[in-house]
Amino acid sequence: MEKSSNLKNKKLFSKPTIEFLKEPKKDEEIYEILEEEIAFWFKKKYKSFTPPQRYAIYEIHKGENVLISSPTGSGKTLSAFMAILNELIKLKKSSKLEDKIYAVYVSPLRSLNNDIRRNLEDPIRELEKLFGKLGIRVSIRTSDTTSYQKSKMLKKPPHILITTPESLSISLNSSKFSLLYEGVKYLIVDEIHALADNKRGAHLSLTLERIEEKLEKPAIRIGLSATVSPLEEVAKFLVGTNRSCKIVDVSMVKEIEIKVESPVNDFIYTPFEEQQKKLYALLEELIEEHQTTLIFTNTRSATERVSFQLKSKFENLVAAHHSSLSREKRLDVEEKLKRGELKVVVSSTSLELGIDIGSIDLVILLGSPKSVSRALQRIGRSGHRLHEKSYGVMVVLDRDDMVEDLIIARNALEKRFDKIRIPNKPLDVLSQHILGMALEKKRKVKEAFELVRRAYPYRNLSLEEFERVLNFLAGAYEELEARNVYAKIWREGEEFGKRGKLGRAIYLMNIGTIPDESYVKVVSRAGKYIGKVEEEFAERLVQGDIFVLGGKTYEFVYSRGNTVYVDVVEGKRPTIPSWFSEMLPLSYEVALDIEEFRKEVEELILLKKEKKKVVEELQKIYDISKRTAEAIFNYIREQMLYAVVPGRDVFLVEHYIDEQKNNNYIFHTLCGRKANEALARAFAYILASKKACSIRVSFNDYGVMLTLPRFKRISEKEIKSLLSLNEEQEFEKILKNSLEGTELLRRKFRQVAVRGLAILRRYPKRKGELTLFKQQLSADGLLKLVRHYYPDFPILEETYREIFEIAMHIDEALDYLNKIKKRKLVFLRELSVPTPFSFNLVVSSSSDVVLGEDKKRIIMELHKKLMEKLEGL
Amino acid sequence: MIGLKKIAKEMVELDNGLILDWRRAVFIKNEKVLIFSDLHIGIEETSLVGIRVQTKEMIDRALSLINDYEPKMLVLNGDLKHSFSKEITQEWHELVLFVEEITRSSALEKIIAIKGNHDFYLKNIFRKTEVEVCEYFKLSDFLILHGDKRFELETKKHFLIIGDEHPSLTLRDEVGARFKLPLFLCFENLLVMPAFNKLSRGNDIRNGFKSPYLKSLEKKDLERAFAYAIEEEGKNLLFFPNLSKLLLALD
Repeated sequence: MEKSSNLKNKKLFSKPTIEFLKEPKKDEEIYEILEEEIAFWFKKKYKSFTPPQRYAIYEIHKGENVLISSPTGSGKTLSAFMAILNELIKLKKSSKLEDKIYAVYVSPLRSLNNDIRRNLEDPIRELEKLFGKLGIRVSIRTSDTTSYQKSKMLKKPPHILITTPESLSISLNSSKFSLLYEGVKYLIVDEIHALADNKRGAHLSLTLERIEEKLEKPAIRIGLSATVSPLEEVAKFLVGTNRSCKIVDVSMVKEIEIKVESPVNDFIYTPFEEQQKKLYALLEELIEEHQTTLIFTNTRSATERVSFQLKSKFENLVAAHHSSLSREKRLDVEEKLKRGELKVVVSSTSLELGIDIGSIDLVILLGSPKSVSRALQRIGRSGHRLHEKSYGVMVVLDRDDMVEDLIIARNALEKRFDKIRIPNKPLDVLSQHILGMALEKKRKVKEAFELVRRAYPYRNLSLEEFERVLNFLAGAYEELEARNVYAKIWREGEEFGKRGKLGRAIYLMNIGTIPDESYVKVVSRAGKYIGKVEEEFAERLVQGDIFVLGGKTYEFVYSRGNTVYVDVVEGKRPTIPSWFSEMLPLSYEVALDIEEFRKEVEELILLKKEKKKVVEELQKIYDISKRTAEAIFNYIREQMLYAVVPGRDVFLVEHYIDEQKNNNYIFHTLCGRKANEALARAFAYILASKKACSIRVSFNDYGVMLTLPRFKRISEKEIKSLLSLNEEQEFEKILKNSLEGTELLRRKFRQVAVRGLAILRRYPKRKGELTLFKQQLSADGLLKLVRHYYPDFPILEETYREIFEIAMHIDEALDYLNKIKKRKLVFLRELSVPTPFSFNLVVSSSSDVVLGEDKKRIIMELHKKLMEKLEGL
Repeated sequence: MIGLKKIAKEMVELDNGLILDWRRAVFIKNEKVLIFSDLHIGIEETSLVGIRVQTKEMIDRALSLINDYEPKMLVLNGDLKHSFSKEITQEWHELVLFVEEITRSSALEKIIAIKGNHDFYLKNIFRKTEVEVCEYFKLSDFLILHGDKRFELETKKHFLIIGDEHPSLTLRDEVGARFKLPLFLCFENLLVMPAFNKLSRGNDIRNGFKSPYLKSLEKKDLERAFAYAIEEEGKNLLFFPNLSKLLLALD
């Protein structure tokens, strides 16, 4: 233990640095460090090195940690493997190649096959063809690996192990297999951007530290990433605290062209059917101009709808691809694509990552991708070879889409990427690892704490927080035994270790970060698949309920088995909140840019006055077609005619009364859905308590709407006081109160409790898994108990943190509140129709109901109202 | 229609001597018999030691009712245990504990358990106790049965008390807040009790009825029926006359 901590700083007494590499090496410089066999092979096959290879191979060889950010098809995976193969060949030649694992390659994707084949198995095979048997073994270990294969690995350990984050952590607790990690020299994390921003990545970061702990010499860490920002954060995530890393940023090396196209020149007055007609005309035109087109939609139902429509023109040259299709169907589509047998493939998110899909010369994004990273990721699927340009067309679907697409396209080209958010010391994930560590061997509290802190997400973990989780696992919270929460480890003074014989089984049966969620299909009575909703939501449906799903409204008719049957009711207002949302959220940075852009256009309109001049100017500045420029002009101008354009020094709130005579207050808070959910709930809670009524909150990326019953109104003064709420602790407190008794809190608590091992999904001796219903029941009981006895319970704290930081973005909400408190409030009252900018919010947004403090009073009032209605019948 | 008079906001007395209590119980005044229905012990996951919190809450509630009404007999009207399986021995244990705890802390002379559709092996479970297990229970003009099956024995003069349905009502306000309230449903010759266990999912009356006794009712029966909804926080029984009109008004 002592030796490694000294060696962890490569140059003693120098501070760890994160730096961008600026000078690529020339071919000769790289060939110099390579073994002649591999140099020969490479020269023969590839002729020259790609940009990421020019930086990375040399640095890895030198022993530096490296993060490579570059587009797909740029050869980054090969950079990692080449350096490693080089090292292994060197060892082989000097007869020093031992039977141990030298490199661990971790990828979040289960189907790693193609990538591995091309970047590892093929090179090895080709080298062997040229130079004879190398004896380099590569094995894959995932949840599909059989025990026979695992025992084979024990006998003859692979030199390079390919695995997933989950399998890696499970194998750490296999007493025999974990010994194989003692000689690891390289740790490679692929698709690291898809791991860094969620708990799965946090889980992996701890696994990596636990592996490091076994090593005599620190491993060389290599991270492969898509384009995210800031890369320094991802680098720190990769290497952990107090370690250095070199960053290779060649993300823009691939030429990319993005166009934004609108099918119509006006979204407000063009009837829906005409919009649809023109949309498909535009799609067909684009498809015909290209060889193979990949269309991305945002929802599964859209994928099915669009591919169905396109089939009437292109027949079986069209295919749909999404994660709910069977594996065979998906593979079939992928193969057909590779062979060039398809003209169009329509996908939701399933074709975003990884797998090789042959050559695509056009990517169409139907509907805003909501973030710059996703846009780049998707568009990057075209022009797969490095020298080929990536070409993407963003086809606008509605008025808000239009500006979103434009800003995202612009930001993508200007390299203004969305900020990655790395989870902040998740305690539930920590709980799993503490148990895992205890199961390995007896531990000292201090040492375990220090190990955990070396993982970047846990750099700010306090000893107190660590001990609280430790003590929870050790059974310190006695009252919990009544709720089946038993000690899983023992702790005595400064040591802890495993307890009982069931610990390992429990750990292996319950490890993982992906929460259970039970979904129910939603199908139209005509038989069309629409989407899915959470089981809990489906259970509460009553005939006649109208709700929003995927941006459209549906009326519940009946449910049978695991399916909910609905009628499509276009244009009707939802009658019940549907907080369930399939929609991706807009990033905060893009939201702010959109707000600013709208004001710029307003400014332009005021300056140029004539429509023709404005349109020309927009075309010029943003390189868009006349039609698209007109659509933008019309949208902004409509808002100007009706009211004002919110943004800069104007903060707009509207009050509009709907057909049910409810009072709707719309706040134009353009800060993204996650921040808006926090604002919505906080505002609603304050008002609901004050006005003694329940309030429906609706929110989307563009704003918040509070719906109050008929005789309840909000004054301008009350609005101003809402907006002055920007002190963090107070805001958190109010949000916490608003969450009491909500489905959201119950559900999140369940997920965190299961992940944190307070509720066990699987238990040895108990048959099968705990059903979701029972998990939720347990969670509800546990929550009540914990609230009463242990308000500092780590699972509860983590639940709030997950809600505030992941489900909602409370930091962005506070930041935005800070911005708007300096603005002038424009309060429009008694509108009978909401302003054009409110349209989407009113018609189709996520919503929930916030109850004030006195439920009893509300129920009594409802009783009274119902009796009156009854008597009138 | 059956006449009724409210004794207090938490209790209602019907003309035929039945008292409905907000704590989800029925008391037959003249016979001093207390009835609970649908205990569903075991609805939470299996506990490894000790008694589940839900069961403890039900014991406390049962004792407070017994304390207030001082019954001679307690009838547990079906679905005492939740799971169908034989293997959940913990449920057996807890059911017996429930009964023992109640017997010990009160002056009850007898406990009757009526079999419900979830209650296999009930005789076996209670074999070491004094609990009498039966398919139905007749008491002067009252006939207490679970309600999932029809028996060919009721006559026009019998007043039936059934469980199984777990009837509930969802109140909604204009902005979409929803409140689910358990119900007592009172018909000419029939009373449907709410589930004693608070965790059981109620069956919304708008979705139709489950029990064969209810399915066979006609519109005129619904017109003459009424309901009492339990509002827990305020310990209130809220009255709703004319079930037929209520169903219309709820739309």
